[in-house]
Amino acid sequence: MKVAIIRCLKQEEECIANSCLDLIKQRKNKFADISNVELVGLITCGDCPGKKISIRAKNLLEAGADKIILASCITKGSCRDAACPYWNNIKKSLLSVIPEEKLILSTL
Amino acid sequence: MKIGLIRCLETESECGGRHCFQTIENKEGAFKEITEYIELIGVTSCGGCPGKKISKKVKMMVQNGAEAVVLGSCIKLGTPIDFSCPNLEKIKGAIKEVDQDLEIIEWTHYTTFREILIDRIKTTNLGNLDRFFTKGLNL
Repeated sequence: MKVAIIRCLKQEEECIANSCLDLIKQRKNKFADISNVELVGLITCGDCPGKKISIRAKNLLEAGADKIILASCITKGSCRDAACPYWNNIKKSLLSVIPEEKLILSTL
Repeated sequence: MKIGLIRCLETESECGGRHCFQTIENKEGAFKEITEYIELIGVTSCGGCPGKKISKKVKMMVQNGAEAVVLGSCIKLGTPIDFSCPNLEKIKGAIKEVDQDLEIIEWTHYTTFREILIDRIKTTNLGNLDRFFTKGLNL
């Protein structure tokens, strides 16, 4: 399965995505049942309030990704103090552009 | 060999990093001399012009065991829109400041698909035919 990851730009200053990549390599959490994972993209959300995410996600799907993974720094607020305050808007916007089955919400 | 990839923040809307990941997986372009297994330990953007946030990111890569820092072709070669980074020398200086011994690989893939394809055909043998079917980096 070809996946592309989108993560928080603010959190990028503290993180090089190593924990997300390790977790996929070790097939933990939502990746436990997936035998073949091919990384075809890893980008940031494009800064607050996340208005760029849905177009970027759409472009990644067109570039060959089967699923878009939203890293936990956006969806759950992992590795940081508080969850993304714009998550509800982001989710609404994403679902208006791409179908829900193409999304994997959260990594950690 | 453990590597960390740094790519241009401004290019993110056009490119998700697919070509860089594919190049690493196939050991093409800047990686064709490397025989050992390449492990990607981290990916970040440069943090935006003029690249002042680079040193913090490189420090994190060194802490995670990176032996080389790879700058995506979007930085030096300016792919895909032929706009190379005006701050390349500063970025390289900042990386050297963090760790003198850290290897810097300045580019990843060739500029045009034609060049990529010619290089791929030249370096393919019976053992690595599957590189024609890769789209990204196997995790």
